[in-house]
Amino acid sequence: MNRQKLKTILLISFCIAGFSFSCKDPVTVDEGYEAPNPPAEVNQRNLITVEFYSRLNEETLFQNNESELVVNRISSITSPLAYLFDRSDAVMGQTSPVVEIGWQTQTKSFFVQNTLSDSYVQGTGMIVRPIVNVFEGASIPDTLFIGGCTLMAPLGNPVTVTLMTCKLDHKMQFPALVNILGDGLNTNKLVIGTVKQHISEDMKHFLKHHLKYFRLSFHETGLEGRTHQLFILTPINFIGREVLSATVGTLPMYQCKIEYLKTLIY
Amino acid sequence: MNKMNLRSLFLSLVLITISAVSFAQTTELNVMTFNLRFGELASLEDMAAYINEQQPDLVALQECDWKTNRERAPKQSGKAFVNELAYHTGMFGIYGKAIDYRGGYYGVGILSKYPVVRSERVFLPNPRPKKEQRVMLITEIELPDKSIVSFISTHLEVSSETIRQKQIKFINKKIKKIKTPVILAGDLNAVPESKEIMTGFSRWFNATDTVFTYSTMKPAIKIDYIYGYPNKLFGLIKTEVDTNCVLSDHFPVFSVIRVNNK
Repeated sequence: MNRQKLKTILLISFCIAGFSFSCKDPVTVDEGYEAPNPPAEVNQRNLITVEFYSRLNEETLFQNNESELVVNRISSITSPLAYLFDRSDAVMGQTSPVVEIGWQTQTKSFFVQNTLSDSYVQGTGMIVRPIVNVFEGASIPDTLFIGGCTLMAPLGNPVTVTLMTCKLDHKMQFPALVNILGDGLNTNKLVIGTVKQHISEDMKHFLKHHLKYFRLSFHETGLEGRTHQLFILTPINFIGREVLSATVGTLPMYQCKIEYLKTLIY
Repeated sequence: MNKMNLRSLFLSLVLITISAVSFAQTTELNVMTFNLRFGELASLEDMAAYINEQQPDLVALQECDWKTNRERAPKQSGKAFVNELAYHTGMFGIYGKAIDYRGGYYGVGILSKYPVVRSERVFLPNPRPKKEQRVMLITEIELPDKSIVSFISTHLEVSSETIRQKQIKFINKKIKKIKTPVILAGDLNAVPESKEIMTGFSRWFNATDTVFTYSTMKPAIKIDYIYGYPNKLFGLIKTEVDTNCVLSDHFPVFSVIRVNNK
């Protein structure tokens, strides 16, 4: 083999190597996190039930004293771990609907704001039965509010969970959400909230590429005039199994069933 | 100095003043602390009406029951004090359990006109020989100007100076980790001249005077306080002990304070 031939072979080899290297590019593209499949069978003993009341739009939840039926329900059906009231807004200096429900049902009431002004606060009320020692929350003014209670879920074996809620209206909230949750999805933080319909796909995409060890599910409700979608975000050792739509009086309610999967599968 | 230089100097001064004003934002808060004596001497409705009249922004409550059945306060049986007061005052209420008591709980509470971003009940040191477990309830409150202040309600050990000192030392250690201005209010069970107050709160802003707060029947000592930390962020507009209020065995204490929160 003369020198010229050797040069040609080497050149072709480099070209092939370079070409195959560039062809491998798509393989290195980050496809994001995909949670492993959960067990097919649901373990009823490990189900947490949370009732989420929401009109899934921009309207306030309580418009005509609908809280009375909710009070009756909370007093009579005690199995849910918590009750969340999306857009149960508060006026400063006036008893907020969730404080009133807490008073009437002798339960603990909390409030997670979405916005704040001098006199009116949009937000989500939260009612729980047990005494709560820690109310976790984070506030990035004008960006994101997220909050919730650390509770002992009375499952087969009691499990400590932090049940949180937030309302997502803008894509710019996603980095803040990930930032706040941090490694939270390894520490039993369950988030049930609403996201504007037209950004739900963006949320899915963003979390897939910026968060790990999580499960995210959206729930179609068929409710007319809705602008928001209900979502359940959990660590991988939990899964949103089912969301049942119902009404309490005229209030739309979604019964969210979240299963605790004992075995961590990474 | 020529005209051009004078103009630049003037412009710079204006800009510095504007930026100083915008960064040094202050908020006025009407803060109240009130030991309720587990509602033995008045109804919760009367207490709520009284609180409403004062229009406080933040209230620290001590000796709060949660669904107890006390022989000494039969009218309050089964009542969740913080829920009752929050409902009747239109404020948000947070409860911090200290101990199990008579079928319910006994502890401290907080009422806030503004939303609570987070809260935490923290046990205070209780070394041997053990006394009644005491707690501090820490909340973060979002104010309308979007700044956050931490508001703490506490009730310290009554009979042991040594334990009180340990509890105050613990509080001082804890609040150093808090990044927002801190307002602490409560029944500290120590007089202003005591070692624990003199040394334990030497770096705090004292937002109260020396008027006696206990007891309402025979006022003889001051044991209820409102403090701010760090010292330099606070100013006092006015403070008052309402010696006409006999809804409890403690007088309520008020301070209108200025918080430099930006």
